[in-house]
Amino acid sequence: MSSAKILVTDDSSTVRRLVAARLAADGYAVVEAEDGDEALRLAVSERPALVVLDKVMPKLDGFEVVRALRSRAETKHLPIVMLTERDAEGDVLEGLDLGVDEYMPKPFSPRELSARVARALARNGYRP
Amino acid sequence: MILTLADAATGGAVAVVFVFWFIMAERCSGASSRRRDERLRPAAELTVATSVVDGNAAPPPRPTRSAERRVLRDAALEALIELRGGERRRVTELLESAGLVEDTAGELHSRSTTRRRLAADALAQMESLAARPALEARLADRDAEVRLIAARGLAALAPEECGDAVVEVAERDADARADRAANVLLALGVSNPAALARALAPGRSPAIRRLAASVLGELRAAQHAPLLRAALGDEDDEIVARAARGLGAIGDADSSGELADVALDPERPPFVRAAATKAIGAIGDAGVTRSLEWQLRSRFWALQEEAARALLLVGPTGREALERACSDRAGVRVHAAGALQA
Repeated sequence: MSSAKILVTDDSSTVRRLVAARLAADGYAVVEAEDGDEALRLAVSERPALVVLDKVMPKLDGFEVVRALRSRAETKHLPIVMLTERDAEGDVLEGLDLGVDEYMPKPFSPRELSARVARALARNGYRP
Repeated sequence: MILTLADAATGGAVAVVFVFWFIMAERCSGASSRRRDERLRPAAELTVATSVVDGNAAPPPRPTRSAERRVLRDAALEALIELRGGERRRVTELLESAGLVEDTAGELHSRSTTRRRLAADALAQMESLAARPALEARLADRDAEVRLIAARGLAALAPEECGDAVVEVAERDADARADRAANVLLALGVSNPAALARALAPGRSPAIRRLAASVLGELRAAQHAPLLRAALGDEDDEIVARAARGLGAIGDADSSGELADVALDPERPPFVRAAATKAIGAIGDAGVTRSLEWQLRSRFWALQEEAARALLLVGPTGREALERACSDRAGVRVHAAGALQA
């Protein structure tokens, strides 16, 4: 069983609950943020192993959060899995430029998301 | 007289107080209801998430209070929008086992049009076979929105069995509510592409046939190309133009020759010929370069523009044709040069 801590950020409590329940069932510890500001705060204070981030959020959107994470020494290399709208090709390209590790188009499968989280963690040297 | 005025003033004051009291009571009741829903929401979301994560979990006990049922349904409907595949299906099963599909189907009998629309929309989203009879009954609803939402739901739920009835509803409302009717056809085209042929059949109204031609193109599925190719010979110019656009969007190389025939057909209006020319460019078949060169010399400006753009898209032979056209008469040169500089 893995015990990596995952930060799940989405303004929809329904999505947060779905993702958190799946990741918890797969053995991860989960912390939740409902907007970009809170995500940035928790990324520093909770030191998660990975961030699941929604693209569309109030206040700071997903890309702004990625930029902020990449600009800080302690979160510069934090793996990020981003949830985007389907067919948002421009978003995917922009995200790749910014350093997003994995994409998950919505509507999504929590099981597939969990697999992508595991893959991103493994690529970044995390071993359960 | 004085007494009457005093009575009226008193009556007015009482009425104002009553209205004020009524508004305040409504507000308090609404706020209290919202607070109660907010309290119930986390548990409802957890129930939905648990059913999604654990496919073998026993169904949760049926909520008995109406507020609990409503909040659970709202949370489940939100989850349905976000999920796909087997995990989405589990949310539908939760709604079925909690009796919420049945509850929602019951709301379709409401006298309130808004309530029936919301219920039809929720049922369409649930994609539960248990909702099929209720949605079928609403295909004859007096409200067009309810009819069209029910048709959209059935298009996804039972496209084979209900395809004809769904197309008939879309046809009935295609003139007044083209966007909604197009959504119905789109849902039908995704779940049962062959059913769209019924909407394009010659006996149907021009409005639904035109919508079907557009939707067939929007779906961008190669399997629809034969239908669209057949529509290139239609009497309705609008259908021909839409079919041409669809073939261009699909990139169907087999239709290049037929598109070239339409593009050069003097009996067709310029907008149809321009659509065919543009489609040829989108397909990029160098085999029709000669037809495009001919089109470049058309007397219609829009056709010349499309031909020039299309020549550029078909590759080296098209570019050579454009370079040759640069030494042609001024009315041709301008288009060729413009395309080469683009």
